Amino acid sequence: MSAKRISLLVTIIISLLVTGCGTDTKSQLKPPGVYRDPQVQITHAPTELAEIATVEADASETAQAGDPFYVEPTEDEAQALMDEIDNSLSDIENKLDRMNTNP
Amino acid sequence: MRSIPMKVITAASILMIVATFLFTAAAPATNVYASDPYMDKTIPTSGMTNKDIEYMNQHEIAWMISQNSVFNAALQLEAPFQKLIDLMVKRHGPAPTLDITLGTYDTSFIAAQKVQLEAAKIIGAQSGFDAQGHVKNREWALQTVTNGRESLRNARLQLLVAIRKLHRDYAAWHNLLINHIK
Repeated sequence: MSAKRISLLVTIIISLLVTGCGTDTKSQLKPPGVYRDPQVQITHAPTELAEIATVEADASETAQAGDPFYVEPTEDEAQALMDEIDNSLSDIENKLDRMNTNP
Repeated sequence: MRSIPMKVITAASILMIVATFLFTAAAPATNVYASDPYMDKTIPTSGMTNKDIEYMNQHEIAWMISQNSVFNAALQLEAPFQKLIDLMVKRHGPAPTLDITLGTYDTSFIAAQKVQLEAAKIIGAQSGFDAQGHVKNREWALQTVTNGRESLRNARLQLLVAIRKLHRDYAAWHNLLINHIK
């Protein structure tokens, strides 16, 4: 067999090896053992929150009545709450918007 | 050095070419179906391989988990909102606008959360898949991925509508407050 043919065959074999004749690793599933069962997280119904909010309000009223160092909420507190609400709303909206194109 | 017979080399080359073809043709799974949020039961599934379905399933599990965290964040919103209402009540008396806004949001949120829980039930059951996430029963697996996806999409839309309405109503109240202070 001529050297030309041998070199041609070697080139073909090497190119096949380089391009890869196995499956793409990205397309492979996770191997057994690595896979974890879906983590289903059940969020709580907000009805419970309403109860908590009532309890908190009662507690603050008690604190207001009994605590001589009680200070009325300041303007800054209201502003901080408004900022927190604004930021949370924008953050949630952005996340939900992104889920539409690439969930 | 003993030279390798030409026939052996030719046969080996052909075998390698055939093997390459088989490997690439036998597993043409793509993540096109997985990354399409609108893929549901209205789309024909005959051309879909089991690997496609497995991809979709894994993608949906990740989607559900990330959407759960958004739902949690949406639920947490109620705490600062309620604090703000309490503050306003202390300062200016009853705050019916904010109360109604939060009440409306609560109702919409509960409805959206029901759909999200439905998705979690469907996807969590993993009907048609084995413990490693491989297709065990194609028909059931397809139902899991299509129904799960539909519920996830609906839950997302319902939450988005609820959040947008809350944002709009809250902004209107905020503007009124600023104008009142001025």
